[in-house]
Amino acid sequence: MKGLIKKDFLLIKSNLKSFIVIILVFTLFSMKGEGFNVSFILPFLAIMMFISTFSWDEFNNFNAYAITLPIGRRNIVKSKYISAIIFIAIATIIGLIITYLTTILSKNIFDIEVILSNLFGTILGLSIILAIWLPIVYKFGVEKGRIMLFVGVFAIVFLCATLSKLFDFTSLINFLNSLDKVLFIAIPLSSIAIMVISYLISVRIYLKKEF
Amino acid sequence: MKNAIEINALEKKYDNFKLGELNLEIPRGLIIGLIGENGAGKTTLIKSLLNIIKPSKGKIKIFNKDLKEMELDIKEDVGVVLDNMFFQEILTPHDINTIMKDIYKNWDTTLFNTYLSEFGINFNQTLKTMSKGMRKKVEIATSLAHKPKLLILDEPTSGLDPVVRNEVLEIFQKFVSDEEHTILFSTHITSDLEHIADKIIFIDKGQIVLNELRDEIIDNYGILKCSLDSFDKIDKKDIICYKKNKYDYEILIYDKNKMNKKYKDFIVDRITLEDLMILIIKGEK
Repeated sequence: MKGLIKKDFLLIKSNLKSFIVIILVFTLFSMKGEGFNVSFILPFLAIMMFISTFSWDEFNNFNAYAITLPIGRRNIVKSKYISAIIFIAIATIIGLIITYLTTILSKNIFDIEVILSNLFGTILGLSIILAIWLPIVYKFGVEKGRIMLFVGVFAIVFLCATLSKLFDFTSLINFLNSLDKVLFIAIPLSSIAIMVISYLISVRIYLKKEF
Repeated sequence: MKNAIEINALEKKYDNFKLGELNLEIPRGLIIGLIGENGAGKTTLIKSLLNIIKPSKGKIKIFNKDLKEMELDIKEDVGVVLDNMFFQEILTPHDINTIMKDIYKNWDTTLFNTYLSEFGINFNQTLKTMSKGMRKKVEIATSLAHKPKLLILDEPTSGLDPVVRNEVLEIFQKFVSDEEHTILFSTHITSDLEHIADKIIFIDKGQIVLNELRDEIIDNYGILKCSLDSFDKIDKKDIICYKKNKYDYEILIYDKNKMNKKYKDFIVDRITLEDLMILIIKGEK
């Protein structure tokens, strides 16, 4: 299993340079602009890199070969979830360091609470997206999964926008804000729970899959 | 342990194709050539052996261990080359080593490096910049570097030029020389098998039509050639199958020596695996 996680890291090696450039550009933006934060962008970049590892696996028929190795289908799926978590974790840490440095450099106050709450929101959002996306990819493959991801994200955004026009969510938001401290624990826990459920579904799909 | 692989009542059904029911024993220490047309079921059989696809029914034992129960244990000792390229093309042989040493317990980096050097392959070159033959060599080196007892190879020589193909076949021969190791090797390039296979398994339309030692095939089967009007002189029960050409008949016969004596007026030719394959598939009964 460790071998497969290493493989995912080796696969992103080649586009690491372009990602560093993107990060630098965003860092400059965040130093100039207001309310713009690198720590959001980085986990999204991590997800994009993660998705690219799936594309490589599929494009070069690695999936059938992986089954022939002494790893087991369950561990093949597990390695992908672990890769995803490590990718996001590393991106988050780098994001926090850059944010910290840029705020110090631009002599602003480093408000850890604001940054963390933004970050937690991002991570929860990403876990939900991944948790839905991964089983779909295991079932239908990367290409269809990509289309479904687009459609899904648009549907959610559209739904939220429509709902917020129809109903007044101020009280809900206020209620959530009052839960501040609870959410700090609840969000990471629910992210983990969502990922675990998604993993179990993916394993069920993958155990039956033929290549 | 006499057999490397034992297959019992194996069946795999698809909408438009069915493999089996197959019963097959693959003895240890030999090179077994799996031949057949494209779509005859070679890859389906190989994929079933590796659990890449799930058979509809039947039992597979490898090294006398049940494939379902001891899959990972078995796979530690199996080396595989699949018909399509299967490593991500942006990886280098060096990367493959980094990955594989954490996957196989017995992975031997030195051995892997030795194979690559023998093949003249650059460790830090990405696969996409390599020729098809070089990539195949990287795959073959990978399949050998954990010192497997069984190699399962799906069309390992297709797309290789004759020189490389010879190199590869030599490696396979070296691999089985200790009589413990087994190779199951599918191909439609039958001339490869004439050089190295000890035993031939011939699959047609999902069924095994022939499973014999190569030498026995070459010694016993023959092609009897006769002109269009003398076909009736041949005893019907001597004809396994035949093919009508423009000017003559080609008849597949068994027991070459006996037929030579019986039909003194006709020529009985040595058979090649290719002739045999074409006659059995295309011939009439």
